[in-house]
Amino acid sequence: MAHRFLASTPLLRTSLSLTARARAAVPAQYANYVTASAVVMAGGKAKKAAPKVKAQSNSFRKKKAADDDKGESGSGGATRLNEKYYKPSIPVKVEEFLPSTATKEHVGQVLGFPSTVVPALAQTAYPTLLNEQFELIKPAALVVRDSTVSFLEKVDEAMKTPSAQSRIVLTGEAGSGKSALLLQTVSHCLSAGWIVIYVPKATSWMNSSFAYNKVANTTSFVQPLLASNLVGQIQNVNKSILDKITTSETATVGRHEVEKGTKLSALLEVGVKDQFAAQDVMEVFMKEIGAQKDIPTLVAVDEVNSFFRPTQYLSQDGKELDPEHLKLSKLFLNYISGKSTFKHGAIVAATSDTLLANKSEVLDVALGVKEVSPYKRLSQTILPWTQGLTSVEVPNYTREEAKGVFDYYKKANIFFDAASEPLFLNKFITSNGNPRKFFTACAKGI
Amino acid sequence: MLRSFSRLGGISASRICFQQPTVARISIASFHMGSRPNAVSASTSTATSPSTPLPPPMAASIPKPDTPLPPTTANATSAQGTDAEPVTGASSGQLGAEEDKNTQDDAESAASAFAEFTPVSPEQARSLTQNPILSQLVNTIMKDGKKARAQRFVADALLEIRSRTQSDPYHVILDALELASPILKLTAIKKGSKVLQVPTPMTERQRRRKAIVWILEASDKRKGEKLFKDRLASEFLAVVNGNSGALVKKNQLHKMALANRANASLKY
Repeated sequence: MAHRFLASTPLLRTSLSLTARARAAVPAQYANYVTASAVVMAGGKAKKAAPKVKAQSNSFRKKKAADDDKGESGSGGATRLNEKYYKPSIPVKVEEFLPSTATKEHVGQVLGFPSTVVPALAQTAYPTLLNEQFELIKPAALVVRDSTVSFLEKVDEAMKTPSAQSRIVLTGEAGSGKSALLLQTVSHCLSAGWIVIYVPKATSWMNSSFAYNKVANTTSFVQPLLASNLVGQIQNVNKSILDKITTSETATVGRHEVEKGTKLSALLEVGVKDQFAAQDVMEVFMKEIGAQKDIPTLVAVDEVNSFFRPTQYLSQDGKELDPEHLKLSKLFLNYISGKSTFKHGAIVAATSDTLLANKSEVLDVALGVKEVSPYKRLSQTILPWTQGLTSVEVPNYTREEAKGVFDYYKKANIFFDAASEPLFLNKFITSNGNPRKFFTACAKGI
Repeated sequence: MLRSFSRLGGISASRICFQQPTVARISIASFHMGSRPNAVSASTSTATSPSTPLPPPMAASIPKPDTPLPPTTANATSAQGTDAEPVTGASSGQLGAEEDKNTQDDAESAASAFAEFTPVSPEQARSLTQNPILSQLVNTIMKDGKKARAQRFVADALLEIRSRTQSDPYHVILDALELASPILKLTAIKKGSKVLQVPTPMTERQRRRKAIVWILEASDKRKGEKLFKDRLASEFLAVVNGNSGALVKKNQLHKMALANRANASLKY
């Protein structure tokens, strides 16, 4: 866990493992140094190598026969695949999920992400468990639900209001469709022309997987590479829109000066090229898009519970840092808690039950999802950040929605049983309509 | 008293209470064979009762992997997308519109030597608990009574086969088990001082178990695939593609049996 220690060598810019980094750090003149034991070992190896070569040449045919069960088709190349079973994958035909199609009439239909939105969504990874489903059935598509329609209406209302008034957290039981609803919101806002900042795995910001440096004379820390990555993602997702907005004043970002009137895409480019300026770039960027009223902004954060619990980073004293001590997280926390606001926009977040260790009791209590004893001590440093969040519960599938998904799975050849009413009822009832369990029941039969 | 019983026939003391009469032995055997009260009654009359002779060797009835299955009337109409099966006629209109190639394939596989047992209802044809073949596979994989874990392995392996081949994994597994199963086993008997290997027939379940065990052993040798479900899926596909350690073992056993075919007529 080298990231836990304060370091900022150029090697940290790469994502090498500790051993690879150690190996790379050895200067060239020592890399080829030969010790006495190495010479002895080489002699022994040479003795072993000689008879081995002979044996290989004599029993060449036998060895090839033994190597036959490498892979399902064989290493020889002469074995063929059984044509009876290997068929080409045919993507399922689905309509596009657009603002015009996300209506009550389409509830129960599975609609795919529009072709304009897919490259933007490809900049960031899909949420982990949803990704498994998308890998299995191509193209990526989600069902339009009652909760989708009502939630998107809410988001559309937020288009003309400050973001501090629309800070929504999606809650619900595990596998009920929170991340999916968030993805649909992101797709909807991208199609509608919003600026979208989508963070699919906020946990990766807090689990010490990125290097961090202390800012002099403060208690805060920056994560240069993380900020640079985020800046690059925002730029790729919103490129055409950001060309229309320019900075309103000169700003100093790291070692660079950004003049007044620079396009925001050019500002973000600075952060992509210089990771140590990326944090300042993010702050200037958020201020600029918040100050303008023409284009609304959506900040979509998945696994938001990691923002409301201690991180896995350590301070110099060896104590766990809170998210507010990391500058990038604090920037987002300001918007989530309403301390900073976009003039037009919304903040939508989703909790995640994927890892029990990431659960935030403070957030659950603040949203009213969980009740604890009044004597229980909740973190007083994290609790203030949760004020004013509204909770929207995502329910399980209704029967109509589940029927639509069932038909879609059958079309996609996820299961090969006859698509009958008793089978559908079997899957729906045993999974209680929970989307994730319904998928498992259909795909795996357990 | 207990000691004298055990001296009589080598029956352990614990077994005394569980000695079954002849009638009940058949019912247990048919339980193993997978027949249910509602199932086709023909399955109960196969060679499980001791009075009927042993069935002939199965070699002739197993379809060879290279020859396609003979076309049936159901197959011929499947391309048109008609609902040949009464089951799907009963389903709701929006679901029943699609053609039922798979239930017709099920009818084909029912005709094959292995799938002679019909499950209770069509939606449970591929059920891990109700389908006798899949449940035998699950039970063979299960260790220490961890059934749910074994079911997960089989379900994940089936899904893996499906994602690699885009076709019904159940048929892949049926085919693989048929290909890998030996026809007979070699029983060692002592004639005088010599030990002779006698080829003896096996029941369906014994044959299938041998195939499963060999496939599991071959899958353990796979390197480069970390997860069990990936190794198992690769091994099933390797059997179906014609190169697997399980097939090698089957062919070796068949060769030995051919070599010792003279001993088959010996009585012991």
